[in-house]
Parts: sequence; C-alpha cells; structure tokens
Amino acid sequence: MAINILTILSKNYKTMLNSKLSSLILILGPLILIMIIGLPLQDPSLKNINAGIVSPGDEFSVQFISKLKERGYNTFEEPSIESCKNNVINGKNHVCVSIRKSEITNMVEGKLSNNYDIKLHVDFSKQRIVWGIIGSISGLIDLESARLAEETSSTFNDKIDATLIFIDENENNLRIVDTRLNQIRENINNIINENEKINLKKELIDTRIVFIKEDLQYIKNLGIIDNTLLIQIEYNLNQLETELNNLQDTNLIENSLRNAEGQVSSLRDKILDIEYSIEELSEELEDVKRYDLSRLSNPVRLAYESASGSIEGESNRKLEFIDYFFPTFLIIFIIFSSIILSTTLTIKERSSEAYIRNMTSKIPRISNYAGNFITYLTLITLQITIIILVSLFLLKISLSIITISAISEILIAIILFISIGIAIGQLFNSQESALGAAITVALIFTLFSSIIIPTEILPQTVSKIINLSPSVMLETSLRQSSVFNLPFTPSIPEIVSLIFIFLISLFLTYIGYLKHKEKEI
Amino acid sequence: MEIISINNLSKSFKKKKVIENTNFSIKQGEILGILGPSGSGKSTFIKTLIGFHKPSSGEIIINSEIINTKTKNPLGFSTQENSVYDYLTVKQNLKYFSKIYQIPERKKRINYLLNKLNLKEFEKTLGKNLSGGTKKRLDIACALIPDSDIIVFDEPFLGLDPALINSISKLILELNSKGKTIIISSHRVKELSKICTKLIAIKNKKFYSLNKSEIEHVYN
Repeated sequence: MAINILTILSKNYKTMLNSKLSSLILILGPLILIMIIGLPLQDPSLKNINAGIVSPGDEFSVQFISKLKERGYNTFEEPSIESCKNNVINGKNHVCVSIRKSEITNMVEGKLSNNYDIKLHVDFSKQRIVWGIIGSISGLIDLESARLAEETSSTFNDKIDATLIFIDENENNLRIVDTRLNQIRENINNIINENEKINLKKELIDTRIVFIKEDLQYIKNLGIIDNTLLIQIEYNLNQLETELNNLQDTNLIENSLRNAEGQVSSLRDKILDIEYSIEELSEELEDVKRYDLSRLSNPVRLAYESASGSIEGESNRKLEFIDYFFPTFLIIFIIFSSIILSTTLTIKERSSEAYIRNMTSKIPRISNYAGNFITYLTLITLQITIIILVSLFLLKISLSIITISAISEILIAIILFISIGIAIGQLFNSQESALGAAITVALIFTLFSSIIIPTEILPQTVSKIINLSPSVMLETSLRQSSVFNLPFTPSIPEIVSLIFIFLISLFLTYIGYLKHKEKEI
Repeated sequence: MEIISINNLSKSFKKKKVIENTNFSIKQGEILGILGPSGSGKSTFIKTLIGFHKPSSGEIIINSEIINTKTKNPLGFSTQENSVYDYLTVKQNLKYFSKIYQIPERKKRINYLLNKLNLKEFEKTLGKNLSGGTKKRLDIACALIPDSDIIVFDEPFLGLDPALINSISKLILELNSKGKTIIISSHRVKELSKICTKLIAIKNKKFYSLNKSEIEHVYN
C-alpha cells in the first residue's frame, strides 16, 4: 500500500515538475501573494486618502487641515457642502469634512467664544476603508478637542490663581480690620472703666460738697466769719455741684459706649464669619484647581489595549497588525488554496486520458485516492511553509506565533479543505463547473467566518451553527494559539463538526466516484 | 481454445442502451476486428472488456475468470485517446505504468519497449510534445507493458498517416505471431479486413459476426 501511494505521489510530483508553469505558480504563487498582501499589512495606516474640506478658513480650520495632511491625507478645499458630498459619491474623494463654527458663551470669560462642529460625509459602500477614515479623523478631532479643552482649563486655572491671590490679599485686610476693631473695643472698654471711676469720684465729691456745705452753714450760723466770703464759697460750691450734676450725663456716654462696643463685637463676629467663608472658598478653589478640568467635558474616558500586551517570550515586542492578521490570512489561504487546488487536480486527473490505466491497474483504487490526497497535502503544506518562512524573514512576524497547536490547526485545516476539494472534483463533470463550485464553496467558508461577516452580528441560532463551521472554528483557534499561545482544545461539538464534515466529504467523494464511473466516457 | 467468452452482455448508461444482449467468443491467437461507425458502442464494449465499465447484465469471461470492475484483468490495451500522461516523459510514463502494473524486471521491459517501438530517441520528451504517431506508439508501448496474452486496441489507426497505419498493422501481426490474441475496434474497414482473422460488426447495439465478403453488404 505504502509503495503504491509513493508511486502515485512520485508520478504526481513528476507531472507537476515537468510543467514549469505549474511548479512556478505553486512556489511563486504564495511568494507573490505574501509580498502583495504582506508588505502593505506591515504598515496598515491609511495612505493617499482624498479629503474634501468645507471650512470657515479660520486659524482652527487651517491647523486642522495641516494636521490631516501630516496624517497622509490629500486635502481639497470645496466651495460648498453639496459639491463636497458629490465628490465623495462620484469617488473623487474618500471623505468630505465639514467644519462649522458655532458661537457659545465662554463660561470662564463670560463672553462669546468659538466652538466647532465637525461632520464627516463618507461612502459606506467602501466598507474596508470607511471605518479606518472615520477612526483616523475622529482620533485627530479627539486630539484637537483635548488640546482646546486643555487650553480652556489652563485659562480657568489662571483665573482661579488670580482669584486666590485676590482672596488672600483681602483676607489679610480683613485680619487688619479685625485687629483694629478689637483695639477699638478695648479702648471703649477702657473708657467705660474710666467713666465708672469718674462716677464714683463724682459721688464722693458730691458727698464732700454736702459735708462742706453743712460745715459752711454751721460756720455761717456761728457768725464769726464775714458772710460775704462764705456766700462766695457757697456760690462756688453750688457752681461745682452744678458742674458735677452736669456730669450726671456720663451714664448716657457709657450706654453709648456700651452700644458701640456691642456693635464692634458684632462686626468682629461678622468679619470672622467672612474670614471663615473666604478660607473655605480658598480651599474649594484649590480643590477645583487640582481637578483635571479637561475631564469636565469628557467625564468618562475609554482606553484600550491588547489583552495579551505583547507576544509571549518577547516582552519588548508589541503585537503589530500583521501578527493579528497573519493567522486569519493563513486560514483564508488554506481555504482557497486547498479547495481550489485539490478540486482542479482531482478533476484534471479524472479527465486525464491515463485515468483509465490507473483505474484498471493492479493498484487498489484507494491507493490512488490516498496518493493524490497526500500529494495535495504536501503541496499545500509546502506553500504554507513558504508563506511562513517569507513572513518570518521579510514581514518580521514573530516566530513564537508558530506553536505546536498552530501547526496542528493548520494541518487539520489543510486536510479538511482538501477533502472538501476532492469531493467537489469528484462530483462535477467538467473542469469549469467544478472550479466554479470550488470557488463558491471557498467563498461561502470565507464569508461565513469571522473574517468578513462577524458571526456575532448574525441571529443567535445561525451564529451557533456557523460557529461550528471549520473556517470559523479553525480561524478562531489559530488566532488564539498564535496570538495568545493558547493550546488547541476544541469542544466536543467542534470535534464532532470537524469529523462530520470530513466524513461528509469522503461520502461525497465516494458518491462522485460511483456517479462518474457509470457515465459514458 | 476459447480465451474470451461474451455471454448476454448488455451495457446501458441510465436509460440509454449502448450494447444489447451480445454473445460471441474469441479463440486464442485470433485477431478480432470490431467494426462500427462512430458512436456505435465500440469504445464502450472495449472499456467494459478491460474492466473499466461494469456490465449492466451478462458477463465477460477471460481465461475462465468472470471479469468485473473489481477483478484486475490481464488485458493490455491501447485506447483511441492515447492513455498516457502529457506531463510525463516517454520513459517516465513507461516507468510509472510498469510500476502500477507491477511488472518484474521493469528496467529491462522498459528498454525493450523503447527499442521495439522506436521510442528511444524520445525517452526524455514529454507526452504533450510528441507527434500523434509517436504518442500512439507510446500508448501501444504502455499496452504492452503487462505482456498479457490478450491485447486490445481501440481505434489504433485514428488520425495516423498510411505509413504509421502500416507500421502499427505490422506490429499487431508480429504480436499475433507470438501467440497474442488481439482485439481491434475501428471504423476503418480496409485496415481491419487486412489483418483480422475474425470480424464483428456493430449495428443497432447488436454484434454480428461477418465473413470478409459480408462486410460491404452490412454497411451498404
């Protein structure tokens, strides 16, 4: 059996090698493909994107346009929004950027300030680049918006600083006023005290005057001394008593002073309240200053990064787009290459004039099929090896993405899609119809994988079924093995699905063989 | 001695009957010519005889063994399409077919055939680059690889010039002289009548044994 298979294998390789073009396509095909697809993938940023611009032509617009140019955009000033949109529709431009100025009251300065509304008009039919353009311009807008927010918050902080200095100065003045008021209050208290002393002394003097008057009366009654002098003294005492009686109003002064003292105390209390409030205000303003004011307009921020961060074993190497895309690219290549190559070679062998000799020879037919299967398997494996080697050396993909799990998944994918290709090659009669069917099947597997239509957007039941398709399963597993270094551990439904599809392919191959055998040649 | 016996053989594809209830036999050492116009079922008969097609009914007995698609029959055959690989050289073709026919002493056999059919100078030429005549010689060489006692030729003169027809006729006679039983299908009455010892004509899906004198009468 093994010798028979080797004979078939050797014949297949000889026919391939004798056809220079076939050999060239088999080897150069993957090389050219990986060069064409791989090199642009190394730098997947958008290039040569034509952007029509409708702007007010002010400083902000000029700055924005120059930033777009820095990002590789070709910018074209458009006279109106209609012509700008038309140029997107007719394919001249990829995007129309409309910049509109809107005036709102500046919360810091309390006057009118310039704000901008930027609207992008895109052609959503260009699915592959439209989100790239939107993402790129949104990124630029975010940067500009953050710059403007930072400028505003910086102005706001300056204003707060000036206010804090002003408050600080006035707080000092308040302290001086408070001190002065305290002094006034103390002086009033002193005066009140002095006034009280005066009152006591006045009462004493009054008593003394009364005693003096009694003594004078007594002397006058004695008649010893000239009354004129005594009357003069009595007059003077009465004058003094009158003057002292006039001093009776000091109580009014004291009351007034006490009122004044009360008012000064109340004023001081109020000043203390103001001082306390100013201190609180200062603290609040310090808090506001510490707060990132740019976040006022954007309180919730989104940031993202790879869950893996870097490739296992290469902690310094960040995952590039090519590292993420490479497993998907390999599966697409395997789907198309395996199905189309095995279909073409199967139908070519079947329609070969020499087929009749193979079928009537002493070699069992199963050996023929096994030989052909191994030929396709080795050919696709050779192509995949070329792609991986070229990618390692030219595209600098990481060697660590080639894990044992990844190799197993690649081999399973090749075996499975080759068996599907052989079944198609057996079922169809002409090369054209077989090739058409092979391309259709390959497209179906590609379309209903995560590669073009994410299964997550499909209805749940459909999504569940499609998730069991080999393209989805193997693409997901290969990505996980390559990027996250996860082992290949398919679930039982996945294993059942893979085996089921393989057996269905074998069954269809047998049906095709029987059907074809009974046809007139 | 009968070497091939065709008993009540019928062959149809779906509802289309190609051969109907055919009976005849071939003796060892005979050269049997099967005559019939294009589309009469000659090739279908040959492909059923070599075991490629399964009879719809009836049987083919070769050397006392019933032939079907599962038995590996001992016939060497040359088809009208020249059953060789275009992208193998002459030598590679012979080498490959000698392997799948499991021939002992392959090198010796290949060299013999290369010389016998004047293919030595083309041994490194690809099948697709051979002229019609050389390719036919290669196909015949492939038919002779198993060195079987019965050799079947399907339209061996098709598209060949008279010199080549003559050369192939000579080869057939030479093989016959070495005891080989030959079956040839062709629509060329003249060539067949020259070399065949027995002729069978196909008309309306049925096979008729003919004397040489009957040939013209049947086709007229």
